[in-house]
Amino acid sequence: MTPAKNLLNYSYYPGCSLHASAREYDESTRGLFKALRIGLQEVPDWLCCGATPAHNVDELLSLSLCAKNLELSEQVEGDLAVACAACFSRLKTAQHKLGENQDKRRQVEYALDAPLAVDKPVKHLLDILARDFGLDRLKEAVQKPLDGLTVACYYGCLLTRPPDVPNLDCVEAPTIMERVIEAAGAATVGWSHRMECCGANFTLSRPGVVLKLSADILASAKRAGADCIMVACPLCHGNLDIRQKEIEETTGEQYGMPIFYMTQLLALAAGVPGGKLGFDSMIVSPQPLLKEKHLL
Amino acid sequence: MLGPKLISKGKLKMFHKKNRNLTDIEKIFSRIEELRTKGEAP
Repeated sequence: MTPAKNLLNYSYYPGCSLHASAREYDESTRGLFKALRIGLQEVPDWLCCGATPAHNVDELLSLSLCAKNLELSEQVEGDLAVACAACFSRLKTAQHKLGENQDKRRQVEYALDAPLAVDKPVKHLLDILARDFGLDRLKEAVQKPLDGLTVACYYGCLLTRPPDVPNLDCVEAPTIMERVIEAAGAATVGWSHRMECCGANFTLSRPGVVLKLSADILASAKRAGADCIMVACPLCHGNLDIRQKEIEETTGEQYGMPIFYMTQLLALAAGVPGGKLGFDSMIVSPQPLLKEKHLL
Repeated sequence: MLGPKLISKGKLKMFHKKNRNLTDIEKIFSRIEELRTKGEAP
């Protein structure tokens, strides 16, 4: 039997986290996109984007790493799909800065030893799902609606900021995550900390700061009545999931709040078996919640 | 101790053992150094 033709096709930049600490994000992204008949072809020989540290210590290196990835992505057809909020931010920032500064363009061209090729559209998965694929088709693809599940959508710092760079949604009051997960049948909550910083990579150098910031996020989601938090960033996921037990010990509060990647919930709704979505990799087990809601 | 738990869940790896395209990364580093040596980049 001939496989069904893809409805859309993209080149795909997973980034380093999706091959290690966030492998469930990668697995669920591939599972979801396959279920939706959206093709993803990985960029050959991609390299680290520099993530959050590089641009703080060496802007030219950070821009060059991103420019090299954009050049490599030209080998694969389709706009560049990016899952990690930090990779997305770095790639879009590089395009923005190289588009407006001739000196930086010249320096990066020298570093790459090649003419710049950085104009391929870079799209976060949310953009692809909400706009290219569309919410109507997403609703039609739902096989197991997330009925009864109340989700706190957490944007963090990078998905919409700084203004004029990611162009994903409204900078101050985005709704794209809510629209996407509501299309899969979930309810969402309004809450105070949806765009607050979790502490990001200070998790290694200043863990006390991260514990405080992430505790505030968990407390806010709990107060709002959420069953779980949905994220699109491996660093946010790490701080809220991996650090959650430590936060509970520090604050004396019990959260037991599963932290899902958006693609895990969407893939579950699209009929991808739970066993293929990396739920076992999560530190706060989502199994009790998903069983209670009859989603597993 | 989070380390053993993270390793058991496949979340900790020696990134650079598997990191891709070290050739390009090293080339970018060395050409940036060249630019700086020549005083053509900050």
